[in-house]
Amino acid sequence: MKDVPAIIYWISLAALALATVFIIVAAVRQSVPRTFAPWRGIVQIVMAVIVFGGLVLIVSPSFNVIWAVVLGVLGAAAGFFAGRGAKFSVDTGKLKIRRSPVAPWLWAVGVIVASMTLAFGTSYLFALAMLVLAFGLGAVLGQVIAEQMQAKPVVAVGQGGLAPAFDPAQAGMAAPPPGAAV
Amino acid sequence: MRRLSKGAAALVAIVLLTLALLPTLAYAADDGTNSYAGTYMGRGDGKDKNGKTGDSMVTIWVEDLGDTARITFQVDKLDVTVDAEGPEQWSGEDQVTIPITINKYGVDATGEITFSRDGNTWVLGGSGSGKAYTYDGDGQTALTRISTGIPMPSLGEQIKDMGEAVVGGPPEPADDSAVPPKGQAETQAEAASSLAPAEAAPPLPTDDMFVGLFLLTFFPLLFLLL
Repeated sequence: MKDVPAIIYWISLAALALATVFIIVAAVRQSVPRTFAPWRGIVQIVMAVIVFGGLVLIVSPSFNVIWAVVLGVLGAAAGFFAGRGAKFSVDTGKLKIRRSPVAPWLWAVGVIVASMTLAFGTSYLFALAMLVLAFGLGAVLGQVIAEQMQAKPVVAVGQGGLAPAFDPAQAGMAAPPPGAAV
Repeated sequence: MRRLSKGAAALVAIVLLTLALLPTLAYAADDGTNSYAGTYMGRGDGKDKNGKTGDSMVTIWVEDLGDTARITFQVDKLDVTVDAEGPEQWSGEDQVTIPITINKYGVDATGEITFSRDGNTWVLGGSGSGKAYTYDGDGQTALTRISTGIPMPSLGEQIKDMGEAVVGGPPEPADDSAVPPKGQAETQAEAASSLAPAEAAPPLPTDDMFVGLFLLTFFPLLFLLL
């Protein structure tokens, strides 16, 4: 029974270290050019909502909901404008995206701060960390919406449905090399 | 796109304006005599089924939720936090009993917490029986209120404490000789304004903490695999 505090400390430290490593590697992966898949952004939003909603419903920290909404909206605006800067390109016939690192890293900061305060801080610090997470959730949401909107005309080109007014440069798409399959 | 940007800016402006116009309604001034809510501290002792006795410092945070009360316990020797909710059973205006059952995080126990008015303050008496990890027996506690609400250290102090907790290694075993703050003047916790980003609250129950840590570790792993 005397070992319980030490066991809790080591479990908390291990969980914090794991979460930190996972989220940093995930943020790096999401910031490098990769094949664009529309479902990936949707799954990211769903997972971010599950994490935030799960913490609110299960742990129920006493944070101000109005502040969370305001920060969520501001995060969504930041993510949306950052998402418009995503660069699309075509490589070996596949549509690639280089997304802005803003939302992945904002979400990563939120997760790390929330984990740290949850494991070692007081409930007040954890409640404040939830507001950081609300901003990160908004950023993920805004960025994914912007990317999906931007990708639509690019995907239409790939399906042969090229609209006369479509301008690849306007869609943030790098000009494909001559002869490349689009 | 420009229309969408204008719409987003207008939405943010409306939300911020609403927030600014919200009345800063602090709680009605309450000197704490009408409510038994607050932070209590004292000692508890127990006897297990083999007749072995032991004692520890105990801190209990009490939140009055109307017809029910939420009670959060922390026993120093265990350094584990558990909470329970129970209905108020008033006996006149000066005594209220809250029956509670805890069946989580290695604790399976039932008991009763009684608050009695003592002049301008309240005192807490509790008794119960059950299992907590390797302990199986009964126990009782008598605590005095040290604050009408939940006292909150400054933000800087909390951040410093958290830093020390992260890198400071496992906590030292609780000091058996620690004594409750006898005769300590009861402090009045400040109510948060409606614009405060967060409120002071009891420590998080240990099981909630682990569920939260699981969410924050498992889902980044899924993010990694995407």
